[in-house]
Amino acid sequence: MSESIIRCEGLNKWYGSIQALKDVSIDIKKGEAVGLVGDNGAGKSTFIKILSGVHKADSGNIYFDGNKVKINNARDSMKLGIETIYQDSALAPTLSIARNLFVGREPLTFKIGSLGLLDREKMARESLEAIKRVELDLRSGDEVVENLSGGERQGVVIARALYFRTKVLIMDEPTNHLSVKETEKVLRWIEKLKAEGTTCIFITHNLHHVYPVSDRLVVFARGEKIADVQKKDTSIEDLTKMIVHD
Amino acid sequence: MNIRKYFKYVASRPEFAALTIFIIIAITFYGINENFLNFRNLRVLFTISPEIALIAMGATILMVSGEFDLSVGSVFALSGVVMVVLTNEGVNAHLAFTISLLMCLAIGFINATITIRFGIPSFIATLGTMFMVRSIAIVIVKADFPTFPMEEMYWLRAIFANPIPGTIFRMSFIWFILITLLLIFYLHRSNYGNWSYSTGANQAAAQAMGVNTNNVKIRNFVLCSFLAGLAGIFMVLRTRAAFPSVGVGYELQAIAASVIGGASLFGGIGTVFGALVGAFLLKFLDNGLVMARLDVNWFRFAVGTLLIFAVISNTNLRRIANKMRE
Repeated sequence: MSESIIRCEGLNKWYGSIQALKDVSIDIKKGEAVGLVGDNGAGKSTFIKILSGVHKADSGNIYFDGNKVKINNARDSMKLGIETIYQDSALAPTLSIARNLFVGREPLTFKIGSLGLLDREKMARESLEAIKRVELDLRSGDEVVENLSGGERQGVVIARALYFRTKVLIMDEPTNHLSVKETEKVLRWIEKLKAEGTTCIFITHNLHHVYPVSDRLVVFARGEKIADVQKKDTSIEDLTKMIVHD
Repeated sequence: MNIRKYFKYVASRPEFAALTIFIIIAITFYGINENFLNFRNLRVLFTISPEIALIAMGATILMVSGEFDLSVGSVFALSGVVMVVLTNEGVNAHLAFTISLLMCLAIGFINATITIRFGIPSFIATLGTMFMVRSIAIVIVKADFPTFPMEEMYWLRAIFANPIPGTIFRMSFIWFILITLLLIFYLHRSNYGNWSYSTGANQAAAQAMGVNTNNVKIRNFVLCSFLAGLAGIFMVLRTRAAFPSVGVGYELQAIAASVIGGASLFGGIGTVFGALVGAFLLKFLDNGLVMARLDVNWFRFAVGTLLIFAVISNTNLRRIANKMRE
């Protein structure tokens, strides 16, 4: 059994009088690909938002790499090496790939306080290398993101995760709105991330999309974790029954 | 292939379209009246254009990060009024100058705070402060307009306003160039600029990448207000008069200049150079109509036409450029 990267114990989250998360404990191993499945409002998004620092749990503990951590905001989460990609909202459409790749983590040639001069040469060079790694057919990092197809955008996002050696990549519906061909491509990239040792967590309600690349599937319903199974021990039919019948 | 690349480059940078129109306008008015580009008139043009350009550049940077400031015209009036009135009350002129600019920073901060803290559109927040700030400027002055303290303002005029002998420029132009370079560095070459663009283009994404989008906006609100106040002070030092009624409508001219220069009302798009060209274009147009002995009341009509034309062409050029994948 390999080491765990994220371990949560008894997470609870209330929104007013509604309990969005009920005593959720989960242990995610290094390099694992975990699919979080469940219907809308099942609690999977809330769980993700706690990990990415958007919301704070009302009670419970989070351990990262064996150490107890507090995730108060997105920065805390990123510092740990957790990167979260929300549907359609991971990139700034009017900016170039190069600028998008480095938003918030720009390489600088010099700085005064936190204000610094962009190292544009490095940004151009490294962004081109980063998009080549995901085999995107683009000649330069200057291309504006809004010109890219949905699949290419996911490619840029995954290139970013690869570039910054993200330890945990959380993806919200990574294959939504994508054509079959593009979906195939995204799933191939995810295999690549896994090969590089990145732990991947997907949230989806389309079981068929994540099933092939997941090692393990966790089912949420009404804020609770109702199942946590290795893929080899289950089937799409079983999982669908769990989601639908609960 | 190279022509294609060149076309794509130009089409995706609307400030070049604005520059082209600017050159056409300058040549046309020169054709109508040679005096349009003579020494004296160029001196006028290069005195008044930088003032609106400072406001427009601030407005563009703020628009890039996804917000507006409608209070800039009022701030433009208040800064000069406060500086002159304080000096008349016995405050040291340089101190009065400093206090006035600090006040502009504060107004920018208030604009940002109202917008962010209460989550209301900056369009409304700054429409409110536009009225409030204008009101303060008028109340301070009361009925009689303050006399301009010539003696006390000697050094400030020497540093910021006096004509540079033998040139078409005033001292304010040197400051204007310096500030423009700093703003280009800020928006286009620095990490703060990248955060501004990403905040305006997709706030959620910027936040997810760890950008503090509130700080980005506060910074840009403050910068915008500061530049408007500085422009107001330049004008007061130049004209030796502080009227609380100046700058009415400048907020819309600044937005018009920004948009003509290629900035998007939806955030994430715009350049400092574009704002500069847009502002100069407006002032050249205004002055050119006078020089051509046309009815100046056509100025607004011309600006309106230009604005609509600019937005339509910018949107389409961008679409064309986007389709041209390399």
